[in-house]
Amino acid sequence: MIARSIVLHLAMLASAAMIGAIPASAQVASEAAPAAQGDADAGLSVDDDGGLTGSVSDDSQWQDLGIAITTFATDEDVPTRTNAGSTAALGRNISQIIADNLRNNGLFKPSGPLGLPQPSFDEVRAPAYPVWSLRSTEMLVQGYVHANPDGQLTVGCYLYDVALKHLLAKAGWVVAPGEWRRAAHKCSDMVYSRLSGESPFFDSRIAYIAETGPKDHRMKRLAIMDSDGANHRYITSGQATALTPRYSPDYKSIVYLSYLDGKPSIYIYDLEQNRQRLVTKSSNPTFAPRWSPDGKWILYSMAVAGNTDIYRVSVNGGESIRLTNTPGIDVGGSYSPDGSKIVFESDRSGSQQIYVMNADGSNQRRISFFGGRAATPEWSPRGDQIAFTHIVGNLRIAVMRPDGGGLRHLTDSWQDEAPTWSPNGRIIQFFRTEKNSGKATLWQVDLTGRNERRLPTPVNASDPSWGPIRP
Amino acid sequence: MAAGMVNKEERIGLIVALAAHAMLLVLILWHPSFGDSFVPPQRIEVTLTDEVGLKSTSPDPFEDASPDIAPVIGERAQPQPVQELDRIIENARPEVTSPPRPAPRDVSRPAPRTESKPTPPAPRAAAAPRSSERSGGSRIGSDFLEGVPGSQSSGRSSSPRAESLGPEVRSSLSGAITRQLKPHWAAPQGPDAEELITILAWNLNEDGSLSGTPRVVRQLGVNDVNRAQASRHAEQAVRAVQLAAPFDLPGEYYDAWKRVSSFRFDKRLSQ
Repeated sequence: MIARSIVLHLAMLASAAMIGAIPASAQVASEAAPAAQGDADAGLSVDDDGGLTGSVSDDSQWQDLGIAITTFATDEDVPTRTNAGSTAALGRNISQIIADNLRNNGLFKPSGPLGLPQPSFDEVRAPAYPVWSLRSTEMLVQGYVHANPDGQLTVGCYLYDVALKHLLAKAGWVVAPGEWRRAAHKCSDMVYSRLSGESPFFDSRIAYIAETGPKDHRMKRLAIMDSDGANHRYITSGQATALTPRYSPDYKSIVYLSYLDGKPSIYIYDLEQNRQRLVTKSSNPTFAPRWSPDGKWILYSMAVAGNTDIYRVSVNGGESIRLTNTPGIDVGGSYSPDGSKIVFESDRSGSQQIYVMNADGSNQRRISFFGGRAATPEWSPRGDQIAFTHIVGNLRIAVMRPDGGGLRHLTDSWQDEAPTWSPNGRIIQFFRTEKNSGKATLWQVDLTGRNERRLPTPVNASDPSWGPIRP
Repeated sequence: MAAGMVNKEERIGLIVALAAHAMLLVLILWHPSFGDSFVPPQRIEVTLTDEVGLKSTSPDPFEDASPDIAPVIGERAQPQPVQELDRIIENARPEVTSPPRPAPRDVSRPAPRTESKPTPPAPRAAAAPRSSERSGGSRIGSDFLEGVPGSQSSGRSSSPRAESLGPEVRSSLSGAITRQLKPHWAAPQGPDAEELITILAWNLNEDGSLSGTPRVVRQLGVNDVNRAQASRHAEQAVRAVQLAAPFDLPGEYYDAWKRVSSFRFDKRLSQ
């Protein structure tokens, strides 16, 4: 009893002592915290030798860069063998193409060539800066067209910084009369890559499926065009439905899926000889063909007795190598730009999700762990992103990092699907289906998701595929 | 009866308990250490500045201190000597031009004593236009400034001289630079481009113009996605400095702004 009560009092004493101690220790802690913070701040702002420091933030909305594009001058107005007419007319057309290319990219606000002063041939190299400063334009594109005696055309392109009054970039090309539009695309590429830091992409071509006819009986034809929609050409007649075209890395052929003899099989269409051949002879349906980055292999999917797996076959035919062997549907493989990995879609977990494996089929692992289903993955030509169709109610175009993180939605419409990349990995092309009519159109969106634009096509279009930059 | 119920052991226990309680009470009331354990924290004045150093600083280290000026010493003499003094100085002036400083003093002091009182009205008319030149009863001539120590200084500063610039002046100088850069600084667009930060250094000439081209000290926030924009980001930052030059900055602080050692260019997404 005595012992118990003594213990009790000792406990009371101890607690009383502790009450006194608590504020003291708390105070120590609170003093330590600001000190540490102060150190961190000092570490940031310490400069080497006492010069002035400071910061400035651009907190305005994203602003498009104002570019004036003048009519390309010519030293003498002579007729050319192009469909645009004389060199002077060609100059007007080229600058119009450049202005159209740069418009709607979200980066630039091009003006001209109409309504702008037309520089003379000599002014191309020495622009009248005061005139352009007054027009509050920041950048100026000038150029010239010169007809060579052999019928070729020389096109020069100059980009000036009006505010700083100096030349930023210049280039010149000799093009055949039939390819004069490429000179305009090359000039657009020069301006774009100089002012955005990105790789060029205008001088490239697009393959897609042109759709005509009623919804339940639609004719699907393979078609190709320039990146701006010009030089449009139908490849197949439309007797057999064509799907999922992909340009070969060297632009010489297109691999696509055709129902030529009733069942889906993969063909390679040779653009130079206008012939096509079957890649692999099989009684099973084959589909979703993709090129390897070196153009030597083709990935495809084949359904065997309800089980679809991914196979690889040489462009020249021969034995197919099976890469996946799980039950369920494995489809739509896409190589990483170095050719070491393949991203594909699989429903082995119960719903469509995105998986990555090594090029030989080993080390298969799932990377998409966000809600909804994910389909049609496509590895960026830069390797830093994977574009796919995210199915969460609507179909939306989204990108993520190859490790599965950093999900970003780029579009928000009813049905956007089948993303493919521009050659520089900065713009994604997809097709959008309207809700009731089922009308499909081609669209482009940049990686920020801010700039969306429709690509003009003569008829409805789906399954766009962007080829690499032209050699 | 009740006490009887309590046996001896319990009684001892009770006594011990009471004694312990009493002790505790005494301890709590008397113990000095409990009261001392909580000391209210001393109030500290906090200055929010990015520079810490044991330096003598001043808002304007380059400004000279103003000279201490004492009030004008009043003449003890009556108003009447004033007029005669005027006349005397007037008379004396041609002779004493060569040693200007001591002259007026030497002449004026003995003057009232040696001379006999003159007729007051006559010099008044002559002295009247001069009254603007010489103030009141001051003994100080128009050349008095040369005799006063520190009078050559045009200093007007009321703060003490120091060896370097205070943080508030530094921050207002960099604020001025920020204001002048802002209209010209436009970050490039692109995915994750808003994470890029470019830090530049540049030198300025005395007239505010750029000396050489700005130099990139370092870049922060570069990742795989925005790497393509990084060089463009730096280029735009350099362009902003080139367009903002010449900077309009106070010339007396040239030593402080001749070298901008790290200026940060970034993008803040407006909501």
